[in-house]
Amino acid sequence: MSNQELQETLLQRARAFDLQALAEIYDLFSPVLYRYAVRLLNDAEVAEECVTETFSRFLRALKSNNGPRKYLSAYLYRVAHNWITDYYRSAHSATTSLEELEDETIPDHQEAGPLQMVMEKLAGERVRAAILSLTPDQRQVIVLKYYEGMTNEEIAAAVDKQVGAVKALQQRALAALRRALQVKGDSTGVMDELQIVETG
Amino acid sequence: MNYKLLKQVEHEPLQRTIQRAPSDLDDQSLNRQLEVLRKTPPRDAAAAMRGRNAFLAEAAAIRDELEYKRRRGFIAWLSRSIKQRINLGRNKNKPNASPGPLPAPARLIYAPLIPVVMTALVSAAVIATAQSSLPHQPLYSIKLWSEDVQLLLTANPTHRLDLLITFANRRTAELEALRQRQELPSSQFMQRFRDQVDEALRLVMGQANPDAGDDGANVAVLKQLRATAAAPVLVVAPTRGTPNATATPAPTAVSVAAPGGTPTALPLNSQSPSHGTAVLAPYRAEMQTSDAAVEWPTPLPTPTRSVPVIGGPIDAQPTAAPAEKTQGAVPMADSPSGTGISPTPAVVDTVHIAPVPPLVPTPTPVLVPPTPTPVVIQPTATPVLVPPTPTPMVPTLPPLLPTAMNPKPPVAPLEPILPPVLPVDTPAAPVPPVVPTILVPAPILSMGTPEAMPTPDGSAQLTVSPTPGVTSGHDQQRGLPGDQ
Repeated sequence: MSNQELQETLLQRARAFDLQALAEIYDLFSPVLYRYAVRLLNDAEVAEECVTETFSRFLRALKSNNGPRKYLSAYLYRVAHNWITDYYRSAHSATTSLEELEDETIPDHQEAGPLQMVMEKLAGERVRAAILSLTPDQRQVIVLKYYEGMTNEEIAAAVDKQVGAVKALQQRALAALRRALQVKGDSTGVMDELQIVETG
Repeated sequence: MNYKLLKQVEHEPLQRTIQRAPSDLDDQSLNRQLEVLRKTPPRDAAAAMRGRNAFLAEAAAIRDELEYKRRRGFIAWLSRSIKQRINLGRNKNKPNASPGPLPAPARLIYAPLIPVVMTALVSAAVIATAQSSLPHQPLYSIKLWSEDVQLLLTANPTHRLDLLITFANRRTAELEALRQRQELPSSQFMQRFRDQVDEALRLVMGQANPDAGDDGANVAVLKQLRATAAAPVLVVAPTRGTPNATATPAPTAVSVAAPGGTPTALPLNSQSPSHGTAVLAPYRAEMQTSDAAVEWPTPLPTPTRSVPVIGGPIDAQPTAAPAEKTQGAVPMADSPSGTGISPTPAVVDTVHIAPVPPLVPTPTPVLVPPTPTPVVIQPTATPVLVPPTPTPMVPTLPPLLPTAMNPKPPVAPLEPILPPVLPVDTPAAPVPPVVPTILVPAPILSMGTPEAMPTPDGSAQLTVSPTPGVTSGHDQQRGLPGDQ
């Protein structure tokens, strides 16, 4: 059974509020959604809240006979993205204090120094802002492609689009990210790349 | 590691490399920057388990709620719709609130019933409205149709009899309403009235129990209804020019011809709605085509206490009653005085006039028109008097003529006496000639109760006997033919 067929079967059982099917859906998609949320939110608790609210909206959609018909993962990603967008619009403050940075418990960064932590934090915020500036479809393609490691065919099946449309979305998303991250014409980036080539 | 890029840039200048493949270099830089977000903190297992439990608990609650609503079905959906519509008016923040789809089983069951229920409600409203309609009105046919349906669905003879009596009473009430509106019923109306009473009579006879008093009462009531249905009805035309002229004595019972050839005395209401010219209109269905009403000269009280007799001589008797206005009960039909018919046992004013001048045999007013056949009523050998029964079902004929027992109108001191002669069943009967006027001093005499008398020639006549106590011996000796 392919991933798509599995999703359709689970959806069919979930529409009848089969608790076993709903549990399987949660176990299958909540880790992916959590990673997606925590990358964009940079907060584990808020990311968990995002996952909880995403699955709650999914249940309400099933109750009102709405919700996804075929592509469950794309639906869940879209709901989580809308929640994150609303979160940034309403509650989240763009400014981050040093105390907040010190409180963050990212294991890989614990051994780094304060300057490194600040630099990585700023770099992460910059990338998040660039990703959040994309359209929902572009962001979804970028996340699935670069962070979940899906192929174009798998992305096309997840977002219910043609493979060509996925490639076009990807190209536009990358162009937008370049503009947002000022990669093109950035000599520093080119030099870094050259350094990587030389050391490799 | 991009070995291809490494090999390409190995022997060329940096600027050329940048110009040749800028996108590749951008993608490399972009990938490196996106790698910042690749690492994610591990998920807290406890938080994940709490989230999972909350998700499954919410799913179970929704499942139970849906199951409960599915059981309640259409009613729950309807109440939910009403509530949400009310909330829509109050809460602008929930514009998308919807009652949800009608449950599938409820859709299958209730959807076809909606037009049926609506049609039934509208029909019930129309039928209920039609119950107060009168003949000549648009909804009257619906009223009759509903009665037919009721009779059709009633097989029990007792219940059917009750229905027929109820319907006959309705016809009587409609007759009263028509009389007040001065309209004439149609022949179909009267035929239906007769048919209903006839069927009721057949039912009563079929269930007749000699020991049961109710049956006898029912028979009497039905006979009276039957007589009403078959009888001509006096219609009082509105007075023109002579209001409150006199207290017009009138017979309290009219002898009419029943369809079976039996004259029937019908009681008349003692209360007169108007004063003036009394018009006898043929009220039988067979006589409906003629609108010509026979105008009567206004009968007046005479010192001889002569009362107008329809179609026969006056049974004039003197009176010795004191001149006072008293109230007394009208004798019943089967009273010892034998005074004939009394319409109702109600107390009726009786006017007793003070000393009457010596009763000189006054020339009896000629009441019978000088026609070869002054017979008003169909000649029969056995006139039938139907006594009214003091039951709620007794139909009361409309007050047709002002009676002498009603002392309401003021009595003029002197009034001319005109002979009230009425040919009822002879449409071509000549108008009775006006008899020479007789001046009568006030006050007037008390009037008795009329009764039907057979004439020597076989025609029924209506006479009015004096007040009880002064009844002539001739009246006392005579029995009531209707009792036989």
